[in-house]
Amino acid sequence: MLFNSLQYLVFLPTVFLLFWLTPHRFRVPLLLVASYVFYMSWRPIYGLLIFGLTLANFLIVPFIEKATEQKRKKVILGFTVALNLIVLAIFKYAYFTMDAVKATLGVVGVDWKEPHLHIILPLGISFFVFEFIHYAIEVYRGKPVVKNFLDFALFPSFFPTQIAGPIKRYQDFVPQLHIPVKFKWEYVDEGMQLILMGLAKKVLIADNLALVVQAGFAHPEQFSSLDMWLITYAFAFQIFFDFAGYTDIARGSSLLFGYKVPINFNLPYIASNVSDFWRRWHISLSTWLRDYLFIPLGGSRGSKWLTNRNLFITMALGGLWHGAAFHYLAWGAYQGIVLILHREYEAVMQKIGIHEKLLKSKVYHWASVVFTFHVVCIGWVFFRADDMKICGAVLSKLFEAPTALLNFSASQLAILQIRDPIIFPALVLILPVLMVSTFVINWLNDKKFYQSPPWAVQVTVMVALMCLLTIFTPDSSPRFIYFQF
Amino acid sequence: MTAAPHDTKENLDTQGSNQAFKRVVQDERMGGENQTVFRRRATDKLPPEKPRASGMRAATTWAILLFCLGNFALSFYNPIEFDPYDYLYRGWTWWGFNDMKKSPHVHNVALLGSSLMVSAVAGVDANYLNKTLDLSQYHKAKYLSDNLVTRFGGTFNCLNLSIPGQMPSDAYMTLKAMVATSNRPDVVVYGVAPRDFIDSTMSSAADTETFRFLRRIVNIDDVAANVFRTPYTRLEWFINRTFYISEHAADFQLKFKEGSENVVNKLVACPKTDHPFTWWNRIKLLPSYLPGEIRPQAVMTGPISEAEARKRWINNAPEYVERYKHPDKYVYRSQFYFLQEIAKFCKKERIELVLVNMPITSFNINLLGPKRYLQFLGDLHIFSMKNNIAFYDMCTPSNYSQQDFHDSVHLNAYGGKKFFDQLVNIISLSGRTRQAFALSGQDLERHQAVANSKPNHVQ
Repeated sequence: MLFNSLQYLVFLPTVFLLFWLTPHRFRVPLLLVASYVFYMSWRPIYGLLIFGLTLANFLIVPFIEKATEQKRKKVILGFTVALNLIVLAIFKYAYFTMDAVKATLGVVGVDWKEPHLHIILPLGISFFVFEFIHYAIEVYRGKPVVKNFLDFALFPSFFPTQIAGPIKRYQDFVPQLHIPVKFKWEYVDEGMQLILMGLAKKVLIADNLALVVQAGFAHPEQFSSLDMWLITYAFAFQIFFDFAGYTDIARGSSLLFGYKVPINFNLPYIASNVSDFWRRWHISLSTWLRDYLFIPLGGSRGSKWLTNRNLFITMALGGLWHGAAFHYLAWGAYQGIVLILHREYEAVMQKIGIHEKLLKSKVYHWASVVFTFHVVCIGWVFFRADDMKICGAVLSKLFEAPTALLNFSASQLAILQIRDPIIFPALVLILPVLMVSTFVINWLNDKKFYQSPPWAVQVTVMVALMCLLTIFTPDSSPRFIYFQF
Repeated sequence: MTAAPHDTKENLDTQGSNQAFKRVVQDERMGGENQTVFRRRATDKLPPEKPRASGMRAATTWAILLFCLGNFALSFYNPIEFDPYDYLYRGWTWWGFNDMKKSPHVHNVALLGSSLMVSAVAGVDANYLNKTLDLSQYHKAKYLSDNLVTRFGGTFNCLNLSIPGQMPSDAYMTLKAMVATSNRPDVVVYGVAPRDFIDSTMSSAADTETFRFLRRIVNIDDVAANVFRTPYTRLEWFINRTFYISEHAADFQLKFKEGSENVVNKLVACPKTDHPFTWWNRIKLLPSYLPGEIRPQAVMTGPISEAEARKRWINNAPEYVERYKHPDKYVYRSQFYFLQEIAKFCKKERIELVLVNMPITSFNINLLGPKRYLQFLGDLHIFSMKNNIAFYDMCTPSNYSQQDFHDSVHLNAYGGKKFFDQLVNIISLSGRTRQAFALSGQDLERHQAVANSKPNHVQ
């Protein structure tokens, strides 16, 4: 069931009404049933998968708490994490592994006929597996286990966050289930505004930008270097609005039931360095990677070399988490490398002693924002390209930009010649607006405008969004990008 | 609108400490009784508490109310006049109706059917007229018209509204739309084939371009039960007809498209180049954008020599294996329902319906399975008898060889010629159809004579 589908338009209000009409003690079972209905509406059989993993984690993890010896705790934790990862590996990485093995064997002259498997990636598996691993590690670190099976089962399956996060923390989520909640219209107002805003981001912005991106990354040979930069910017905004839109709908849907789930984005394109970017982009994943991969690997406690190694491994595996393909791995590795370079740069600047002064300079800050945005955009090429060949073609185009800029003329821009669909030439108008709006929103945040928008503004925005979404929602809206992960 | 209003630094700070976050959550979920105490102790930064919204003060309530009232007012006053024929998506049906609307001629015979009929008409006419035909602009059946004149006398003007993939539900909409736009034909020749009733790649009648375009012109209330397969598609239809903005979403989209094109064209000049970007370039660049849309010169058929036509053969078996893969009983039943509705509508409008089972190769029949094919044929016979419809089974392997086809189902120019010759022959053999065609020819001749004499009479 897609958030931008008619099914969800029926499903959500139905569950919402039932939830608030039901006494508190029946609300968790109600949400659990609703969440399984939501999940099984796609492929009913995969309901068994999420249930099986839930049951296994619920039964095994308490043994970590009960174990008195540290070694024993570690063994059970290792077993739990391995069990979750094996399930993820089977469903997500089987084809990728077989392809890699086949290619490797091919190098040494062995022609291996790989078995033909019929594995369809279950929706949201990467997200709920990470939630299970988080739970096991937290219990290992001394946090209490969840005693009630229904509460525990709702934690990974909670329908607003089930398919594409945000990745929740059980210490934040489960306690909310126990508090006898009273209906408040604030929940509805905030929730509805988030849902409408999220849908607008997806339908009005991301889906339109997708047309340009799709063309550019399918046929980079048809576009000039400057075109490819514009297309890459377009993808940067497409993926942001797509995923931020999803997160808004997820958070809005949760709020309708009075539950808060973590945020995922905090204006990532105003980050002044890559480290800052990762504190603002897919926050629930980056904090998960920090807490359950980077820190267990040793974090930044060891030598410089070890810290850099840990960073690289964390980001590369984070890349692979996004998809079983070399270009995702390359994207992760790229992020790891740029984070290492950033650390090294900061260390050098601090050594020289001009770091503090520079940081305070506004010019330096805004130059850093622009530079970081471009570094991130180059990373998005690895992410978006269908394979490494396309990735190479797009990157080589991007690096021709200095020469193209020296001989700039409007005729270089192929996107200006495409008048159908009009989004192609409109890109030169839309992209600056999107870029500037990021800074405007940051300014409005500083002025605390969003904390208390006037009532009339809220109503007007909601009505306008309802009208726009009614008009522009296509009959079959494309899926969210993060659904495939 | 670049970020969620709640993705703010403040929120991040609040979540920085799990403990504080939990306390805020707990406090809020308790109904806010301890909010002031908590805030005073823990977070001085938070803005002063707003008065709690009641149902009548909630922004959502008012937004929904205003949205509904606005739609109601727009439906009541109908302030904008939209042209139902002006449509964003220009597929085969749109071009057919566009041509029909522009045509000053009265059409007394209409041809309906899928690509089997399109292919037969286009092939035979390109050879007959000895010119290349642009199928987005050409909707006549000249060879058939002249053949009918020769056989029955009078005047015949055939309009070909068959389109690739047309199912009985589409044919029903097409016929109703023809009549709704004052183009009532006297006779309808409807060529059917098994694919039209069991295509596995179609989930419901409402999925086609024809249906989506023509429901702007035709009222489908009476057949709604059979159009919408799931409660959701039915709900979508209900929403569309209830809310003005939803009903006219395509019109608003078109206006927005035109408006944004104007603005962008004014602000962003199109650089002059030797190779301007064409529709063909777009198809290559964005194959999945508006699939099925056609433009002038997108589908052309030219004259072809007999030797060349008989030599040409395309193996489309994989396509038909897919189409016949999972024959859907629901689709089969619902398409027969629409055939029934066509028969009813023709009776009501006093239109003579001639149902024709189109020739296909025995190879294709084997792909479908002879048992299924015979059942289909039997059902057509029963249907025609029950509804007292003229039905001709033209799919006789003895009459057509593989050389008459350019793939397993589509007749080539020479197969098409054979088909129309035999059709006219069969029509003339049956008293009922002979009389219908003869009367129609005479009527149109008389009509044209009156129309031609009008200016003299006025003088």
